[in-house]
Amino acid sequence: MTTDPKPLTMTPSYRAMVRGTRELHQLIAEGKDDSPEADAIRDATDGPWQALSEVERTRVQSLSEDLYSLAESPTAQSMNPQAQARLVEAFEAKNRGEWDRALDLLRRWRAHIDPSLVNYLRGSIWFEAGDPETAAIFLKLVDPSAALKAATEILQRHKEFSPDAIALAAKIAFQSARLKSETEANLVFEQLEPILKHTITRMEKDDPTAINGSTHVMLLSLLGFVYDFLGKTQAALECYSAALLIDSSNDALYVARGMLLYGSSARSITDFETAIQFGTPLVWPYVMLAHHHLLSGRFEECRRFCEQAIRTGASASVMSEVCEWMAIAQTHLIFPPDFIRASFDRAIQFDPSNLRAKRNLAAFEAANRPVAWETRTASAIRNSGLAEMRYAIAA
Amino acid sequence: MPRVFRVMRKDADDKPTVSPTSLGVRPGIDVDLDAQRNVLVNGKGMSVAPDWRDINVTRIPKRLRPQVPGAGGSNNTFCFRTGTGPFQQGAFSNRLTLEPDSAIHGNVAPAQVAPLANFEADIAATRQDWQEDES
Repeated sequence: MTTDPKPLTMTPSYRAMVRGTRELHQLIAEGKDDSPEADAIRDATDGPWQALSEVERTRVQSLSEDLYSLAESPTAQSMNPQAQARLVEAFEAKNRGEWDRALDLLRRWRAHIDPSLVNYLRGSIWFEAGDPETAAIFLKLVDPSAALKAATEILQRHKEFSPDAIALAAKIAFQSARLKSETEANLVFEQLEPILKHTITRMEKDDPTAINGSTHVMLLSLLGFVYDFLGKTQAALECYSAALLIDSSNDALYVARGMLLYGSSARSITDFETAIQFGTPLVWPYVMLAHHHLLSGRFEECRRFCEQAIRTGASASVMSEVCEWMAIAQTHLIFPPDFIRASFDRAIQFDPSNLRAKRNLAAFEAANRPVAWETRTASAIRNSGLAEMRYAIAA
Repeated sequence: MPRVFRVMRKDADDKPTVSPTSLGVRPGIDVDLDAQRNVLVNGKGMSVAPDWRDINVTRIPKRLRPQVPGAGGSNNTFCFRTGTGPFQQGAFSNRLTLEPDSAIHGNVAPAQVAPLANFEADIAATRQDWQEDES
């Protein structure tokens, strides 16, 4: 198995140079390349430029060329077998973490590739290489329909493409389902299921030492999400578990598995705790553990996880419910009434349609303890949580 | 005189424009001054490079992108060259020295503490020696 791709090492000089390059191109695009602002950028990048290695200089120059290309329309040429092979090569280089090579291939062959796909790939490469600011420049130009068209072509002829290319195309197709009706989305998942299964089998039959670990995990994860959407929970769980055997520190997979198991297996709790240990940026482990401890009567733990969830941030409805749990936990922990009211008020501010929070606040105000709180069951929380998080985790 | 390059604006006679951001220096940025407005001898001065391709890519004029990918400088600036000697510390011209701080960058600095106006005049005096060279 190949090693996982590593983000670029970015020295302060390199960061300053890349930032300057981005800002200068913004001014060039506005016709201000001969302005005092542009000269200020040139002044600010003189020192960093001298401190760069040869590789970093070439990377900055290449980025500058890619930024120029956004304003230039190459003579569109049709995709030919040679260009297709280079596109696959770029996918593979990206998945191996050979960022410069992947970007170079796209630069040289971009005339043959749909511009949206080029920008999508450039954005993905910069994002995975650890530079989200640069990634955003390219990703905001992606025309989803064009990227989806290219992905659909790859999926239709998936046997001709590498697992890396299929994984990327499947991810684009999967994300496209977000904007579709449930029936249409299910159609996408039904089409993806056999392609992903076939690709994983093909990959595992080939030389196991040549398997790209990150691609293998991505394919298994996507298949797991597809199964989950299609209601095949057990198959989804098996996919996540198989992926975790390959990448045992993948926080998102622990969250995905924990969500499916919540309310039916104690393993979900350890999955959420493990995801937190691995520093997950996802809010769900905190939300679910807060709910779990609320129902278990461990109010201090509930309060702490509520705080973490609020700090991490979530949709208004989730934040509202978490604030409501916080208020309930505070009540049991004998917090001053003003604190408890503030938490209920926050819950109602986040989601004015949260009538349950209003009823719980009223119950608190009229309290002759103990208050009979209204809370949702584990399965209700699991189902609404799953509905919100699936696409986010697959992103 | 060491062979050095600098990106500058030019006048109608195709020689560099004498100004703080072209053939000249910006007090407080390119050079440090004492209380009497004398230029300190501390290695700072007018930025130059041994080859125009070594200059910060954001300064190289955009028209030179075929030779230097990513060049982002204004097309109203030009690469100028002067001198023929090696890029090493030593005399540059009257009262000026070259102070390399790396293999690809150096500063044209005063040989000794001098009033800013004199230093600027010494730099301006090299104007006729510079010629456009983007080859």
